[in-house]
Amino acid sequence: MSRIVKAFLTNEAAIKRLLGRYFKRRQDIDDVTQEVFLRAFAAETKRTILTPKAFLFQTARNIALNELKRKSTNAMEYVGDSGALDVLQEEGPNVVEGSLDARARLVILAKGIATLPPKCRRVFVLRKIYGYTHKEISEELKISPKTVEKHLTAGTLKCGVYVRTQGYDPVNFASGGFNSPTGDSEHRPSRGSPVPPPGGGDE
Amino acid sequence: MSNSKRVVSFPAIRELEAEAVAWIVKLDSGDMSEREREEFNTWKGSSHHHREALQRATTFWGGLDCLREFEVLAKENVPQRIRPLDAVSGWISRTGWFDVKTPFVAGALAMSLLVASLVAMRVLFPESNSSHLYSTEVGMQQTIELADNSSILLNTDSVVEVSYTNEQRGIRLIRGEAHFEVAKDPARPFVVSARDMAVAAVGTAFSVRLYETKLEVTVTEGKVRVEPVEVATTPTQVEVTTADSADTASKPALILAGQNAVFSQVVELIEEIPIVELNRKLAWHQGMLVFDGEPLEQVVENIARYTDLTITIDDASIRELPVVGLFKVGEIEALFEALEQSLGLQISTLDSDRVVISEQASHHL
Repeated sequence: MSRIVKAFLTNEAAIKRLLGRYFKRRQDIDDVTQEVFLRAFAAETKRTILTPKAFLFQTARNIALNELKRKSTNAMEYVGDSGALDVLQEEGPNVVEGSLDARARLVILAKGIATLPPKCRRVFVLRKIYGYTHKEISEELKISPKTVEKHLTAGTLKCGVYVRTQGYDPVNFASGGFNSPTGDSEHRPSRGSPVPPPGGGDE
Repeated sequence: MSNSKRVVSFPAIRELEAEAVAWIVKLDSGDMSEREREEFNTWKGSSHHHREALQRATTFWGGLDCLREFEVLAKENVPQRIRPLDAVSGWISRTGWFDVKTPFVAGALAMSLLVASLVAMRVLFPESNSSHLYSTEVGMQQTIELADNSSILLNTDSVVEVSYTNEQRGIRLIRGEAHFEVAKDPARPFVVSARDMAVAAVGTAFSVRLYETKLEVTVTEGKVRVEPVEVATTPTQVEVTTADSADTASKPALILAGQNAVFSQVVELIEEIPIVELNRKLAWHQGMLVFDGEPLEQVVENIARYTDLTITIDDASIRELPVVGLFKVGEIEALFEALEQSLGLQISTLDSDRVVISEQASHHL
């Protein structure tokens, strides 16, 4: 597993405690924690992070400060996908529902990618995150085009398997029209039919 | 297996899935021999299970394009408004490795770290990547001038990827909405793709908007062709589906100037739109939002794209209220004011990021 994802999972509670100093609402803490994860994951696709734990906490502080500043100056800033404005509940999330889904989806995919073996992960990241062509990857990593294909196939399949273990159908999930796993529907109406929980005859 | 032919067991489905993904990846490589192509056609044609597996694999693979978002995030990693040096030196002193007292030493250390990481990035990521990502934040718009004199106007909260090759000018709309003004170049078609649809255009102007599950294309000049692509991830290699033509799968559709079309996997609706409405739909090009009697609900949905405020309509009774007005993108306050004054609605701010629109209580008293 990637170092940063591992560090995140071991320190998630501590990161939330740290963010508790900046935010009162649970939803804000959860949102920023998610953002910390996404940014840290993104950063690791670009370079090696020598001190993952320190990096996570610093990123959390930076995002928290930025967020507070943003709120106070009321500046407009990127929050995510501009999905349709479906549902807004009393205690609902503070961003448009669609955007939360898009972010949550990225978290799951990132965790899926983190489960890939290092070589496979590298190839997959170059193709799907950085948009390299097969040829560019094979030149960059000095591996044959066949090997590039092999890693991409394995990576895609494994990500699909991971998405399934989280209770989603990979196909609906990736194309954006995905549903909440069963049980997570308290705060939002389900969009379409729920998928069966993992392990339901899959293996 | 002695099973009846109709029954496909789970292991077989998994196997098919793996084969389908391998074919998608092969197609994605853009390097397929004549023999492989034949093998592929044979494989694809062997049963509807094969075709279905291929369809699923295509959708999943194409959907993984949302991962491009991480490139944007990686660029933004040092949060804005905090200078890189501050961020790095803060990081060093907090790790506890160095007890840095003087700002000079801290600065020098930070600088060398920064340089080191820049060097590492150059080594790991030389400029071999031929595609570029452009993005806008919520409430922002940006014009991108391309090398061939074409231009892209990116609307709020949008991301496009531009990859030009000698054969094709490839654009991928990853999120949001964009308007394209295309310079003529018959030798290099201008192809915009989004999820599993491609929009091919010659010397024309059109807008594409990506919704959660749909794609909307509005043509202002010339004509564009819309068709499904087999592997949507490689703009340089648009493969028109042929095997599926017997199924419900989409056929190419031609959209002319003044027409508007909505798609998901198949073309749902192509309609002529009156010039007035066309201008209204495209008012965002001038940084304006125009409403001409749309229900309040739709207006709110529209402005939600330009702000990170969460706007709720409290009373079901006012959802259908028609709204007329001209507003500047980014001046949400003015719109609220107008709603209050001309429609007599009440705008309440719950906290810094939530706003509720309700019917004014005094009306009932």
